Amino acid sequence: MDITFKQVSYTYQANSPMATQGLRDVTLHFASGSYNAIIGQTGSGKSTLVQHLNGLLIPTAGQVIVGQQVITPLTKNKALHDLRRQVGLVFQFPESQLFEETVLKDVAFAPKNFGKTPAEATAIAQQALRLVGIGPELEEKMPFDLSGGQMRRVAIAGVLAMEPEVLVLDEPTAGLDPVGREEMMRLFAQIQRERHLTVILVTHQMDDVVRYADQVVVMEQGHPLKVGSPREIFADPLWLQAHNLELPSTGQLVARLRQQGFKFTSLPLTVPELLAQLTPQLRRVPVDG
Amino acid sequence: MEPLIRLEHLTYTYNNSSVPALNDVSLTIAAGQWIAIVGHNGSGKSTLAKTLNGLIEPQQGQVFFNGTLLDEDSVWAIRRKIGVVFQSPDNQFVGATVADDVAFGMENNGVPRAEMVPRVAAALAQVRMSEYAAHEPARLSGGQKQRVALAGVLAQQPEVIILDEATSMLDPQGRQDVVSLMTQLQAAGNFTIISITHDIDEAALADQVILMDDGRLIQQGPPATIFNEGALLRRHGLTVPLSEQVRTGLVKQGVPLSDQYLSEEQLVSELWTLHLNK
Repeated sequence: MDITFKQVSYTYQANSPMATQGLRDVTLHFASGSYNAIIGQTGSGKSTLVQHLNGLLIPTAGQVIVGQQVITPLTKNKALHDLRRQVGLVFQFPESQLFEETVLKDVAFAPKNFGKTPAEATAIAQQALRLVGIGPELEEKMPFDLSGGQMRRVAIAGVLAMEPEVLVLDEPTAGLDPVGREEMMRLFAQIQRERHLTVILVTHQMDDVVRYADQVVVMEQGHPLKVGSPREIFADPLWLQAHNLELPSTGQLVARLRQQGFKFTSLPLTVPELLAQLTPQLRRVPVDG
Repeated sequence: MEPLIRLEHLTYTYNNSSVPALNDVSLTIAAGQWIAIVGHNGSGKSTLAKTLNGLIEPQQGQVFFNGTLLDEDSVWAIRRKIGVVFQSPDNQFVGATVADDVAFGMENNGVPRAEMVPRVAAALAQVRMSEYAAHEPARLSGGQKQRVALAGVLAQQPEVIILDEATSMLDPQGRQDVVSLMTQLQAAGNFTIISITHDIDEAALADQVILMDDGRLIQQGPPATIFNEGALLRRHGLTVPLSEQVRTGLVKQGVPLSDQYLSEEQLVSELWTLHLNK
């Protein structure tokens, strides 16, 4: 599903003395089926931006076009029913949104709510649970009896059970350990491929941006400062530093190596890329075996 | 010499669980050290920290603080010597202003007002938040909130500061702020820092790393020893530090680097000695 922002601005508490600008003149395009990352400092407008995707926020000026639906400052809440099914949102700590008595009921809630029969809703829920790696043996458990990692998977299954075409991930791995984080990110990538979803990921994890994103949007003070591929975005360490953005983890080591006198033609974004540029500059001995 | 903290054969199982969260853990922590307790979610690292100030009472085993057995009589005195900064900055504020909040712990401990005022000011200065004394805590950034939480702990003049995943919810800037602050504080004062984390780069700053899994102590040692075993870290749900990934990658290609873990700084200077055209 294609998504387009046309000169979108958003003001919090408009028409009051407390008015603050959340977005200003945002024009962006997210191609159908692409994986997009939104990066920027805390308070730069990342979350405000993604809340426009399913009408949680309505622009103060401009248009947001999601598939066929056009959202303008005049759009009424009632008109957003379809959009809310088509765009699934996974927030930080999604497990805090679980509420039903059993895992299966919790996941089946959304499809039921969007008009599926109980049997259809159950089938959809079971499919979504399998997709996130939750087996049938857990379906009748209370969500709160599960481990933290399992609860998070169930909550994500609840979003997938709406069968969305767009998946918005707002720092979905916050607080997870490295292995849990990697599993979750791989899960999202797999779901994206299998279901041809458009993904919008809000994150501070630059290594994830490098690994998964097709397009990166850098937000600053409510405005997209730069849009491009990860390679384009991370090409200029000085620019990143000037805008308080981190490099992928290889970047800091490369900066140290450059300072010492090593040469790099382009910024390596992964360990294999780093090794490929570094090894020819070093003395080597034959390897045993 | 008696270590600051000595744990002997701690075992603890939560009420609703059949598996012990701590399983026969024994270790010692010397005063003035920076200790990182690492392990994946559910490995027992937070439970371990909660036994130190008696928030959790192990079913078996004993905790000694400066040689004193932690029990019903000693727990209050020991708790005053241990400050904790928790993961979520939003769940730990009670005061209407930053200064009130920092004073709260001292009020609880009956510190006279005349003494409280300068201690609040000093603690806020230590975390570089003096100019925010009259601000509402809710309006601060995540990193600023954690610095205020830390000031609340410092104002109580503890001997031990426990950071329970205190940086895991912060953005990179906030995390950097808190970590560099902790480095300075430890260098300047007489604190023992116990940092519970799964950020391996943060753990690299510690004097000692304690690796936990399945409620057991897997290994305790300096970062160099623990990080040298990439397979061990991965097996226990952690990542391998970048410098270690690069070192092993280069060694495989025949670059004659030392066979020990190297910090980024050490790695870069050792690589320079192997550079072909200086």
